[in-house]
Amino acid sequence: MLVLGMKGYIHMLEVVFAGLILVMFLLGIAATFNRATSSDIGLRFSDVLVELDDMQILRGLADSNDYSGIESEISILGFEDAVEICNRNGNCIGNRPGMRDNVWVSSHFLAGLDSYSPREVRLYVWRVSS
Amino acid sequence: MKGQFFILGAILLSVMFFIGIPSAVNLVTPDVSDMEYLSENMVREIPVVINLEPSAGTSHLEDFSLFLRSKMAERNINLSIFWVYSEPSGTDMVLTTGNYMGTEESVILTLNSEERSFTLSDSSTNQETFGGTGSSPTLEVGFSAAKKTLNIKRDKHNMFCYLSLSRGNELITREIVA
Repeated sequence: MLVLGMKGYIHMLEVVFAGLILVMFLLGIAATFNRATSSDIGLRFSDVLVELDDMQILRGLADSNDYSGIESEISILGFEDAVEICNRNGNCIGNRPGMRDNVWVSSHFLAGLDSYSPREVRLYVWRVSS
Repeated sequence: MKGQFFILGAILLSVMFFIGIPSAVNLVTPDVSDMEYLSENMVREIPVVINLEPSAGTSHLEDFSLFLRSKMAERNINLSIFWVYSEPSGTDMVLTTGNYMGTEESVILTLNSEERSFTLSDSSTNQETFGGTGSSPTLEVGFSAAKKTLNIKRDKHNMFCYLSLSRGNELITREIVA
């Protein structure tokens, strides 16, 4: 009787382990395939700048160093953003996020508007803190 | 006792599986870097430099090449640029070659059947004048990374540009004809 009782406990333990293994497996698979890498997110933010350039908005604003004008054109749900414009000599004007984790930065390079005046437009994006 | 061995075996296999996932992930979904986007940005923007002020010749193109190279270096990206720019000069054609490949380049330019070869050090340009080219000459450009044949127009500005971005094992090459 004692041996039979022990067998029951061992079978129960086996079931518990099997369940745990199954749950771990499913969680591992879900986490692996649903995780967006930080670089993927950064690339999506780069598309924002490309889109503004395609709409003939970015070039003029960048040429006049209007970083707040660019910021006002950008609205990403669940994220905050800041824009910085740097000229050929590396002098930058605009906003930078303070010290925080997970800030994605995308750069877009422009040659100029009516004359040659290269600019780097930097877009910083971070999650809205809850 | 058989059951316990099955349990231990299952745990062992699961651990091995989860340990193996990180290396398998790189095979299935490789990380996408910013290089693709940046190269696309350059392909769009380099012709703009020429179109903004054609009268400036290649001075802006030279500056933009250096600007992009320094900006890519900030991102640990090694950017190599090589371009040939042609502009009409009376009945002649002036071909300016810019080398920003990071090394000295042996260049061969052939316009119709007239061949010119020269060596170009890094971050420098060379100018060659070709006469009697006709209205639609064929230009062959040869250097270490590529050999390209182009049909160009004598009465307009033409450009061929080769770009190479590399970082670690990543490499992207692009060609622009404008």
